[in-house]
This record gives sequence, structure tokens and C-alpha cells, in this order.
Amino acid sequence: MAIKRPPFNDVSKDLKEPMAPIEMEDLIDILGIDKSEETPLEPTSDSIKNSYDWYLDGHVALSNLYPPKSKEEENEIVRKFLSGFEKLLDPKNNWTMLQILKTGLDYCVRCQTCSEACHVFVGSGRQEIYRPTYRIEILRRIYKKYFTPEGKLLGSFVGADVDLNWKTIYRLAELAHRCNLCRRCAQRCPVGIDNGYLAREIRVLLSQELGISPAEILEKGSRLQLTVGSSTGLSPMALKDYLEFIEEDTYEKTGIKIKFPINKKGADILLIHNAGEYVSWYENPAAFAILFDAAGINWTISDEPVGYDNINYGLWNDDIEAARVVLRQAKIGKDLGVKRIVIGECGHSTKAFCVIGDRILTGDLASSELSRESCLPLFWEIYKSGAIKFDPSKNNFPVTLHDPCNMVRNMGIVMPQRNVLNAIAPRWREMHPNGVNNYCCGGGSGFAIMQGLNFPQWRNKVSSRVKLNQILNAFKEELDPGIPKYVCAPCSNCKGTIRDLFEHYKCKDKFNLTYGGLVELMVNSMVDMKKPYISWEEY
Amino acid sequence: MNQFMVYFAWFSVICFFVGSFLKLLKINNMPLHLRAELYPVVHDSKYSYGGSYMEDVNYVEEVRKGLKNVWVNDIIEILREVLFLDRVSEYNIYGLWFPSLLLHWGLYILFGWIFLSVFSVFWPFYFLIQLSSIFGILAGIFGVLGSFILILRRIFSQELRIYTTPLDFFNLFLLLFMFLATLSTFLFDANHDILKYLGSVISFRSVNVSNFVIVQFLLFQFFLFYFPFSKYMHAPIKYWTWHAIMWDDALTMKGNKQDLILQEQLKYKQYWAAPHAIPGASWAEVATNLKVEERGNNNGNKKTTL
Repeated sequence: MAIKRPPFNDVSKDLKEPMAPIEMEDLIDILGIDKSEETPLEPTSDSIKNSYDWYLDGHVALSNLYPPKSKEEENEIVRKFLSGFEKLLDPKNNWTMLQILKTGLDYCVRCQTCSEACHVFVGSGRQEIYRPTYRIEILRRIYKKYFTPEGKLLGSFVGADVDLNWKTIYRLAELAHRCNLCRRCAQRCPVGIDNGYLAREIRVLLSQELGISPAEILEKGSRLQLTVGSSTGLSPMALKDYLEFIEEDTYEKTGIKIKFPINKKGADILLIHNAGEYVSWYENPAAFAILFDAAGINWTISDEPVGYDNINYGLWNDDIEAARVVLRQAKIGKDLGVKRIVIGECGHSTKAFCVIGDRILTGDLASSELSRESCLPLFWEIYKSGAIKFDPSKNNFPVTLHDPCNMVRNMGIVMPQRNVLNAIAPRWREMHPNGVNNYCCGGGSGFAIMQGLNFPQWRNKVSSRVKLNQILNAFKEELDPGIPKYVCAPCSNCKGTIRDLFEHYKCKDKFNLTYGGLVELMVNSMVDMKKPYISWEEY
Repeated sequence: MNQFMVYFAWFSVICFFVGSFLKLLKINNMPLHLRAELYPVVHDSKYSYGGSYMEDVNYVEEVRKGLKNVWVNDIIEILREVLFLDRVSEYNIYGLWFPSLLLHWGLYILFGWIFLSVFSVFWPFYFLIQLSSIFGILAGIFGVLGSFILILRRIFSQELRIYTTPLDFFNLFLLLFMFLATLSTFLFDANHDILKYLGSVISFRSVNVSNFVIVQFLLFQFFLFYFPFSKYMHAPIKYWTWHAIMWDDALTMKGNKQDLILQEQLKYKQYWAAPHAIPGASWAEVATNLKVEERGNNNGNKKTTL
């Protein structure tokens, strides 16, 4: 095992090999999976080598970021980066995060207490480039060099010693996309520095000033959502087709007739799903419909663009896009006259709408005027109300719970999902660590949807590695494939990550592992359900 | 030199207080940021497991009625870190906790020694003078050991060394020499000059004192002068990084102070220049509108207002 410690200035250099290539022997072991049996690590392809700056770790997250073709282009990138950095430090251009950024840049004592919190750093075998402080130290050294009097005066004495050129910017961009923004490191900082949010600030600079962002997050994410209606490309017309299909299919499978109420004025609840659920896991919105109808809830969905897709990728990289999305969604709720807006099983959008949106939406759209909530407390409320009879024996299989970082560590929603599981899943058990100390699934901050080039390999091998080990450890007494096991992940992006992870490591065949949301487990255990709702073969 | 030492003492104390105050004021007066709380939030009544008010259905009503926040927990948690370096103790694997604890306590005791010594100038009781001497000796021992071990750790640990700048070493060596000088005044029996010197500072009258005392106070006063401009400020910064950022879970209620502040901030003009941005528009405008050329195929751009 070799820990690579490339000096900071390597980010600016012409290199022949990556600063810290991934090697199988470096990665941590996973319970029940022999490294020799793992899907081998694919070397960086020639097409990537010929088209991209791949010198960070041999992987490329930004599949739309091509090296500049001329000296003028190179200079322009540097000029824009510095112009963006200046805006990042300006109270009006960056009021949203300035206090967090400035305290982080100026007062980190570099004690590295945060490092062991990071699942990417630990999972990689503690490769230096993934340490939570590594990318921020590069950012800090650029800041010192260009934006502080001591840096201009004393240079390398104060650490103002990283050369800035297009390579520095491109590799910093890649480095910013080796952090899941889960903020586990920030929990441990003795000074209160938030390296997660500082990594996000790099992304903000790149996105808001240079338009540099993974295609899946900006161009095919927020841009598509704001111009078409959904990042999936789902138009209002297509949505209706999907809903009709789900209604019919649910009837065929369960014998239960559901009808998605659309644009119902004055409903108590406007439910907004991640549109990815309609497309990839339609049993999830169907389960919501079954549960809400059975509980007698007066609810609706919207077919207004942006109103039927709760995603808000601006949470990961762009305050402008984040503000646009929360504003549109809140306005739709207000126009429908609903009492509150409930976000489906999707962690990032719940945080974006409830927490980030809370300081973007003011006056008549303030939280006090239109409540915005996670679906998890509502599930527990439905259970407690007694409106539905549940039979826990229907869920008589091992279940573990994955805590989506955005809803748990970032929102403090810890117990409702546990209360529900205690009531309906007799064989559920915690994975460790859990709750606010959980590990990210490895797909946070957009990684779940970033499928370009060889980035999925990096995600499966490195950022999701600790999570898979955690899941398998939760079932360590029952790894036998004869026992079906369920990973409850009440978050679309976490589910997407776990889906890819299970496929990569062949977890269905090896361990009979499957995954899904919490609402499916609830519906599965409803007494009125004639057939099991969870169909193991489908996963 | 002696006259200089009198004026430099006052200058450094003023710099320490005014400089720190202005620095902290600058941080305090930064715009209200987006909510960035991180759980467990210590004043929350569900702190024991990291829960929040958002665990309740219709939590807005609960907030309206008033949450049972335990605000004293914010202070207790910060104090735990300041006094015991809890997080470093629990999570740091590079052996920094013990030397850091020694160094921090060295500093706390050093300030205690200075205070006691100043009191002793006015009330020269034997007990007070003896106590201040004990403080001085302890501060010197703790500080020398702490800063020396930290320097060694930062030199010999690969993980720490690449992050440590010459300025970081300068900061540690400054502390090391300051504590060495403190210890020297006692080792070389110059401590009887300390009260004499402090008395001269208070009365603005220069006196002749031992060179050990001059060096000790020169370094201490430089430390005070330098403090607001250095990373030593990380100590008071905790109040903002924790209380005002990581534990700030205040909900926006229509018409409350926070709501009004945010409405003002949304009027700020922004000049971000990416293709999807609208440079020169206010935050409210940029959130409300897409760029003109994006509106053709745009159902999502119905006019909305913040």
C-alpha cells in the first residue's frame, strides 16, 4: 500500500502521469468481497488521455471540460477564475456564504483532525489528494497569493506559493468533485471550519463565473429543469403519460386503484417527488399514493414545470440556480393554495427547499407562510394516527437503514424513519456509524448522477467503498444469498448510487441484497395489501 | 529602551483589544448567510441524538409557539473545546492533542499570571505574589513543552509537514521563545523585576529592569500586537463558526428581523458572469428571471417575485 503525497504545486505542472492514480492495493477491504474478485480497475482510456486533463487521479468528473486550445484561452480561464474569486470574497456577490468562506480561508489551523471523518480519504487508503484539507489548502494558497497583503508581500513564507494556470484550475475543479459535500469533516473541526462548504465554494466560483460544472449538474441538470421542467427531460405532457402508466401498473400488480391528484387547489399537501422516481423507481411515487390515500390525506401533485421535479442541483454548485428553483417551487405551492409542501424521498432537494430556501424565500413565501417539510416525519405521523393498519410480519426480512446526509446530518431528521422501522420492520438493524454520524453513500453532491467517462468507476471503487463495507457489516451474520436483505435508503440519489454499487459488486447474486425507500416498506406491511409490494426479482 | 518598553506595552494592549474587536466586528458584520447548520445543534432540545425541530410535522407551528432551545449549551460546548480541546482529543490521530492542550493552558495561565502580577502591583500581598509566580512558572513549563512538541510533530509528521507554512512555524517559535523567556525570568531569578516593570508601565515611568524581563515582555507584547492579525485569532472565531454558522437554525418568519435583512440582501446587485447568470441584476431579479434567450422554450419562467 502506497500513500501518494503530491506537493500542492503539482496541480500547476505539466505531468506525464496522474498525481495520485488509484490502485487496487491502496483501497480498503470490503467485508465479504475479495479484492481479487472485484471488477478490475480499468486503466484510463486513450480517448480520455487525448482529450482531457486527467492528471489528478486518472479519472475525469467534468466530461465537458476540455483543455484550452490557445494561449489566449489559457489566459482567459485564469483571468475569469481570479475575477470569480474576487466575487466570491465580495459581500454582495457572495452574501450567501461569505462568512463561512472567509473564516475557513483565514483560520484553519491545519491540525488535520477532520481527515479521518472522510469516507473518500479513508476508503482510498488515505491518499493525500482526498484529504478534506488538501483541495482547500490549494484554494487557500491561491487566495493568499492574489488576495491578501501578506501573501503579496511575503509569498511562500505565508504559503502563497501555488502557481495559477489553467491546469491548476482544471485540477482544482476535479478536486472539488472528489468531495461529496457530506460535511462529516466539519462536525469534527475544533475551530468550526467547514471544508465541505469550502469545496462547494470552489464549485460555485467555477459554475457562476466560468460556467464550469459537470454536464449532469448544470447543463443537463438545473438548466434543463428550469427551461423544460425537469432534469430528466420529462415535460408536463410526458409526466401525464408516466402517471397513467403508473396508475395502471399499480392496479395490475396490487389490485389497488390509485389516481394521482394533479393541481388540486386548496389541498393540504403539495407532494413533490424527484422526477427520477417516476422514471426509474415508479413504485416509490405509487407507494406514496397508496399510503396517502389510505391515510385519507388531502394531497396533490403539480404538473407545472419545476413543480413536478423537486431536484435542486444548485445546492451543490450554484446559488443562482438554487434560488431560481426554490422560488419557482414555492410559487407553485402558493398558487395552488396548499397548506404545506412535502418533499418526497430525496435528501438534497429536501435540504435545498427547507433549509437553503428558508433564507432565499421571504415575505409571503417565507417558511412561516408556506411550510416546507420532509416526508419522513409525515410517515411517522401517518403510522401514529392509526388510520392504516400495518402488519410488521410482512416485512420479516433483514433491513438496514442508510441515513441520507442532507436529511440527517444537515437537517437533524433522525428519529421519524427509525420510529417507523421500529414499528414495521422487526428485523431492521442500524449500520455503524449512523444517524448524524453516518457515512455518505458516495453519491452525494451530484456523484450519483454523474455517469460520464470513467467517473462511475471512481465512485464505485472509492467514494462508495466505505458505504458498501458498512452495509455488508450490518448484515454480517446473514450474508448468505439465501436470505433476502433490504437496504432502506429514503433518498433518490442514494438509491441511484446504491443501485450502481450493487451492480458493480454483484451484490444481488453474492448476497441477495436489494434496496428501496421507506415508503415501499410501509406499503409492503399494510394489512390491506393482498400481495407483497416489494418484489425482490425486480431489483 | 525602558521608555520604549513602557509605550510598547500600552500600544500592544491597545492593538490586542482594538485589533481583535475590529476583526471580529468585520466577521460579525458580514451578510447573513444561507442556513448552514450541522447536526447535532447543541442548543436543540433533541441534541442528545442530533435531532431538530424539522423532525416534527408542521414544524413551523412549533417554531411559532417557541422552541425550547437551551442556549447555554452553545457556550458550554465552545468552552469544552477551548478548555479541553475535546474534538482534537477524540479525533486527531497525529498526536496533537496533548501538546496543544499544554500550549493552550500555557497561554491561559500566562494571561492569569499577567493579571495576578498587575493586581500585585496594586496590592502587593505575599500570597498574591507567590501565586502569580506559580502561574508564571506553570505557564512557562506548559507553553515550552506544548510549543516544542508541536514544532517537532509538524517537522517529523509527513501528514502535517506539507500543510505547515513557514509562517505556522514562525507562530509556534514565537510562542516557544515567549514561554522560554517567561521561564527564564524565574530560572535566572529576575522575576522580582516583573512587578517593578509592570508598575512602571502603569505609572508611565521608566525603570531599569533585568534583560530577562525586557525580553520576556518584548515577546509577550509582540504576541499581543500580532494576535489580531494572525491565526491565533482562531480562538475567538469559534463563536462565529459554531454559534453563528453551524448552530444557526433560525427559521425565517414573515416580517421578522431576519426576513427584513434577507429582503435587503436580495436587493444586492451581483455580477457573476457565467452564461446562465445575469450580471448587474439583483439577487431577487436573477432568481426570478432566466436570461431572455432561454425563455422561448421555457414553461418554468412564469414571472415570480421574491
